[in-house]
Amino acid sequence: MALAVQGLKKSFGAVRAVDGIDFEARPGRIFGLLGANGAGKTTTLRMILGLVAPDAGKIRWQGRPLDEKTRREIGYLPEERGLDEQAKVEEVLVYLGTLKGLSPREARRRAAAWLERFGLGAARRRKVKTLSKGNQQKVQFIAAVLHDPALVIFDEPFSGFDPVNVDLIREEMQNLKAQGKTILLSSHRMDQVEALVDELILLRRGRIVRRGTVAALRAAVPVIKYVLEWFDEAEAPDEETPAARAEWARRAEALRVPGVRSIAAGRQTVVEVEDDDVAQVVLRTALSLGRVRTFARLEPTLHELFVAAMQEES
Amino acid sequence: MRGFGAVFRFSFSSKLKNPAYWASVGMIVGAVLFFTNLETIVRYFVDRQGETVIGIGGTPADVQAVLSLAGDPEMQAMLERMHVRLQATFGPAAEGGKAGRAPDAAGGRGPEAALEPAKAAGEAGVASGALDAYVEVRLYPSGRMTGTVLTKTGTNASLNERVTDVFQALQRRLAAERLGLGPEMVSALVDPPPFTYRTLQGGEEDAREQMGLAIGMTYVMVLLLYLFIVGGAGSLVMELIREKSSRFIELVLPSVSPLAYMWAKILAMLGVFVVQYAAAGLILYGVSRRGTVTLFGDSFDLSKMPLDLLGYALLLFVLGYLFYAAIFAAVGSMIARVEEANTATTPVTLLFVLAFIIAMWALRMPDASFVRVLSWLPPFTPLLLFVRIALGSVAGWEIAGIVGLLALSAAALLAFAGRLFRRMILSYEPWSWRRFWQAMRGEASV
Repeated sequence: MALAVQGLKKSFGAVRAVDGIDFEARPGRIFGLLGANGAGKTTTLRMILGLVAPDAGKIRWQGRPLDEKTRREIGYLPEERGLDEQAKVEEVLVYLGTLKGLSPREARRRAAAWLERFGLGAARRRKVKTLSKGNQQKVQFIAAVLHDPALVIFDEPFSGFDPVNVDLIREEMQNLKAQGKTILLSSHRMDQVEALVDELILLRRGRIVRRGTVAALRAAVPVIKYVLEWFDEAEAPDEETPAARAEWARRAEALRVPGVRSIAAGRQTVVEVEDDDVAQVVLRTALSLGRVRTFARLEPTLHELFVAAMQEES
Repeated sequence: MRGFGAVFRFSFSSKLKNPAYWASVGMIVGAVLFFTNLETIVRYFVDRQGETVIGIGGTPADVQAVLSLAGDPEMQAMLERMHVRLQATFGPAAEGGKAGRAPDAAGGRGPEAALEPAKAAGEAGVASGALDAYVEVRLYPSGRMTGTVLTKTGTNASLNERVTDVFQALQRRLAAERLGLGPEMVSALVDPPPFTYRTLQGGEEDAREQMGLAIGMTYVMVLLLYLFIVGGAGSLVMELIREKSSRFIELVLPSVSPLAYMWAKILAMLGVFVVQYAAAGLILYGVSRRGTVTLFGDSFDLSKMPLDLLGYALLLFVLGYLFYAAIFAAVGSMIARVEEANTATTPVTLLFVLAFIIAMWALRMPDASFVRVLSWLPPFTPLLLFVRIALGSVAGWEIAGIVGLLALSAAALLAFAGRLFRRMILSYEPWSWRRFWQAMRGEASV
């Protein structure tokens, strides 16, 4: 019940947009295609949707090649959103639902339920163009999931949404995951998808540069960092005086025990250590210097992992 | 063709629900009624523009002669019909104490200076608007008239035409008098022979009346065919561009093949225009049942339109639309911006405009050899074959051949458009003829 992509390639003239991508997205999990703009994410998704013909490679859904019929099992939220603005909200949803194989009656029933859920029940008979941009985005999200697809593809799903709606969409994506849907998520905003994706591939110029779970990617990073904060520093005035800077430098110097690789002194001090045992020594030293308010291991963000991977590749 | 039905239903019904669509039905009816009643409308305004006063100057004898001719009952009737009044114009004072008197040099033989006061008065009358025109007339023993016509501006062709008509009639009467010809002899000299035209096809009706009726109906049908095909194919392009530019098409195409999508759009637009023109036709039929619609000065009743002609019109509507829709669909698949639509479609539209212009000529010469040859060319067939069938003589085998050629061309173009459509419908690159050429040769695709 998985989506399997093997050796996918696509060029536009002399530009190689996708260059031999392989991955497998499984049910009940969110699979991320992450990368900068132009990395080949949207082209890959378009090939899966049959909108663009691949030059090479295979795409299989549940063990079979995707065709017109099986593509009806896909829900799609494109990056560049667009609805028929002249049509009414319900008409558009019923149209897209019937294209996916629903009867008009069933599509109407489901559209009404989803619109109520998103607080758009009263907008059912309004023209799409009269809705706010955020509400149009919600309608587009409904269009993607109306037919209860087994595979849902979200291309930059949070672009254009305000923070409240971002949370709403995240919640709905988690619901879909809980229902066992296979979810493919493409984004260049690492911060927005970090907590969502179970597995991911990092793309650069059409090629995969990293793959795995977020935890595995983090584990592969050989840098261990801790953040340290003393009570007196935390309670001190915000003003950064020369005396305060001198005190931070003094304490940082005291923390420089064997196994410490680097120290960034400040109100919050970041210490890079060789391993977690060295960190314990650092903590004990810190306690000897004052009451410690915070001592926590810093996990690299997805953004940092991405930047590090890009730097390594280039 | 999975998804065809859903795309067709949505495209068809969303157009029909649009108030602008029904407003355009009203505009079609209005346009047809306007053009077919143009003469009546013009006459209505001419009848209400008031009397045309023409001042007449010249020697007293000449002026008197003209007024005397105008007093003839037949001439009076004509002047009344034309809303024209003739008025003698004399000057206020002439040199030598002849104030208010007409110059005594009669028959155009007197000195020119003697006419000056009348001329001045005529000019003043035209300038003040009391006279629409001032005519300084001179009569000759033969009955010939010469003269000078003075009007306020040189652009009033209608007034000049009216003055000419009046004086032509007066000259004819004067000449007839001088030559001693009776009304019948004058009529024999100037009127066309009063033939009754009959044809082998016609019944009891006058053939000329039939011809006028047929030309009128054909004109209306050619106009409707032109509007239908241009409007239908143009709407198709705009519909494609609208869905492409909004990216709505990307939601649709994963569930429906581009070919099914193209066919659904083409047939939905055809359905939309058939409904639109059927509605307009029904309204026009209703209007024509209440009274006749006039055209080219002939009266005809639209409800008398022969059914076989209506059938040919419908067949040519459909085939002509499919022919042009295939071209427009192929072009439209490569356009993603509304502003590029004109650049891309203008050459095709111009081709059809040319067909329309030729069809207008063909109304008066439907059997001309160039009309016969051009009617075989598919871009011209819908309009020219219709004119030939309606007004000319065209053999059954020829109709079948021309229609068959058009149908084959439309089918070939649709097949070709389908291939291009499949490759290019998701192309968002700027339009260029070079790229279109590459796409046609299979060298460009998404």
